[in-house]
Amino acid sequence: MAVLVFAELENGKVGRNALEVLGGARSVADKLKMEVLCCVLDGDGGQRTGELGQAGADRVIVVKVATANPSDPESYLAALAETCTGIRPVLIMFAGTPVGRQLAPRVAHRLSYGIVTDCLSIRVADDGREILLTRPIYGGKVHAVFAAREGQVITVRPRALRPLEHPYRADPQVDYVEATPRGGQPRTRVVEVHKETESGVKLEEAKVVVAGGRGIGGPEPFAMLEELAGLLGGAVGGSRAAVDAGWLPATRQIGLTGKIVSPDLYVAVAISGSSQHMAGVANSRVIVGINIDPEAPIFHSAHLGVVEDYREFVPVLIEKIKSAKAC
Amino acid sequence: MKIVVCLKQIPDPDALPSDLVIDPETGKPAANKYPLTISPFDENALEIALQLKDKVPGTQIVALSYGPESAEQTLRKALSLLADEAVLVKKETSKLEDGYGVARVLASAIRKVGLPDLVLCGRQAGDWDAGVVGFLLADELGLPCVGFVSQVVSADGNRMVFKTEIEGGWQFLEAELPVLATVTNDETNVLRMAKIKDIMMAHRRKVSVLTLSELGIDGGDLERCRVHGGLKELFTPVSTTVCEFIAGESPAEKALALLGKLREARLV
Repeated sequence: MAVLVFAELENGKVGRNALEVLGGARSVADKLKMEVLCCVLDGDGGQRTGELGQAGADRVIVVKVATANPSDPESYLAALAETCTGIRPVLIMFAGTPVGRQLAPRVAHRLSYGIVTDCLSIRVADDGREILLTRPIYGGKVHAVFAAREGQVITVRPRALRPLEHPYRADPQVDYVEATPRGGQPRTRVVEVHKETESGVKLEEAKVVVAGGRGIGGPEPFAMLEELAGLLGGAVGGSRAAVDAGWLPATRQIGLTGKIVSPDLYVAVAISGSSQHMAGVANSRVIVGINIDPEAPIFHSAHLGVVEDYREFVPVLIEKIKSAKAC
Repeated sequence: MKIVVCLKQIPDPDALPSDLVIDPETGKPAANKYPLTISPFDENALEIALQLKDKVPGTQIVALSYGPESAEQTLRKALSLLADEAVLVKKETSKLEDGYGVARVLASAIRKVGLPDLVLCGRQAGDWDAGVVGFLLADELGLPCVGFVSQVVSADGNRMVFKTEIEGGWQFLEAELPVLATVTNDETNVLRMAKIKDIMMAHRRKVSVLTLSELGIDGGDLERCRVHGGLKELFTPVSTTVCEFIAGESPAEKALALLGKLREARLV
C-alpha cells in the first residue's frame, strides 16, 4: 500500500509545487504507515532522484516515454495511468498546475478512482481509517470535506501544503519503467513553448505583490503600480477583471483560477475583493486594501484598509516611500 | 466544421457570500434568491466557437447543456449569439451528481447529435470549480484532450493549433481532429454581446430536449456517484480578519500612517 505523487519539474528543478505535494504525501503516508512513491518523467526528473528522496519519497519511479513532452499531458497520460494501475496506490497526488489538473481526472477515470481537485488540506481521521480532503466550492464561499474512497486521486492547491523541514532520505530506491509505444502517431504535438521572461521578481515567489482590479479603469495606471512594486521589491498582478479587460496578460492573473500567491505583503489596489480573487491571496501575511468604496468586500479580508481614490493615493504613497528612502 | 460547446448554468459567482446558504443534502444553494448565469469559462469556450464560425465558413455550432429546465435560458443565450442548434438534456434529479455522471450524460448526448470535429468545455464550472468534467468527457469519447486553451491559433483541414496555458507561460500545441479542448480565459475570448434583434429571434428558435432514457441512461446510476458519495460536510469558512482602517485628513497623511504600520511590521 502506498501514496503516489506525480512530480513535475519546474525548469529542470524540483520546485516548490513538487516539494509541497511530497511533503504532504509524507505526512499522510507516515500516519497510514505507508511508503511514498514518486513518479517522474525520464528527462524531466530522472536525474533528480536524490532531491525527490530528500523531499519525502521512499521510491522514485522514472517513467520513460519516447514521445513524452512534459507540457503535453496527452503525450504520456497512458503510460502514467498504466504505471499507476500496476501499483494501485491508496492515494495519487498531483500539484494543482495546468498539467496536474489535466492528468488527475483522466488517471482517476482510467483506474476507476475517485477524484477531488484543489484540496486545501489532507488529513488522516483520528481513527486512521479515512483520509479527509477539504476543498473550496462556490468560489471559496463554502468549504466541502470529502472522505477519500478506497482509491483516490487528488490535486493540491499550490501553497496549501508545506514542504518537509528536514531532508527525508538522500538515496531513494529508483525504478525505471519503459512505456510500450502504442500503435499510431501521437495525436497532439507541442509546436512552441514560451516561458515568461519576467524582468524582476516572479509573481509566485515575490515577497511583495501589488495588484490592480476593475477599478483601475485602464492599462496605463498599471505603470503606477509597477513603480510602487518596484520600490517595494515586488511584482505586479491583477484580478480576472483586469485580465479580461486586456490590461494585463493572463499570466498575471491572481485568484482561484489564476496564480496563487503568498507574499508577506499584498497590496490590492481598486480590487473589490471577490471570494474568487481572495482565494488566490489567502496565505498572504498582511493584506492592504486600497479602495474608494468603504463598503467594498476587500475590507472584509484586508488587515489594513485605505479608503481613498487610488489615483490620488498611490502617487502620494510612492512619493513618501521615495523620500523615506532618500533619508 | 462542427463544434459542440458544453454550457453549464450556475448560480451567479458574484453573489454575495452572505446570500449563499447551501443545502447539505443537495450541495446546492438552499434559497433560490440569486440569478443564474452561464459558467464564466463556458462563456469563453462559446466565444472561441463563435470566433471559429466567423473565420471558417460552414461552421456549425451545437450548444449543449445538462441541467434543469431553467438551463434553457443558457441555451437561448447561445442561440442569440448565433449558435446553430441547442440541445438540453433534462436533469431529472435535484441530488448532487459527480463529474463522472455528468461526463457520461454529455458523452451520450454528443454521440446522439453526432461526434463533432471539436468539443469545447470551460476548464471548470464556477460553482463547484472541480474542473474534471471536460477531461473525463474526453476519455468517455475516446478523444485526445487539450487543456487550458486560451485561443485557437489556426484551423485547417483536420488539424488545429491552440494556444494553451502552462506553468510559467504558454505554448502552441497542435492537435489532430476530432479533439476536445477545455478553455481558460484571456483578453481575446471574453464573450461578445448579442444583438437585440438576435435576442428576439432566439426566443422563437427551437431548443431540442433529450431525456436520460432517450440516451439509454438510468438516472439512479448517476446518483451512485464516485466522488461526492464521500461528501461529509459543508461549512462556511469564517474570516476572523478585522480590517484596521488607516485614518488621516488627506491622502498624504494616510500614506504616512500606512507606511508607519508597514514599517512596524517590518514589511518595508
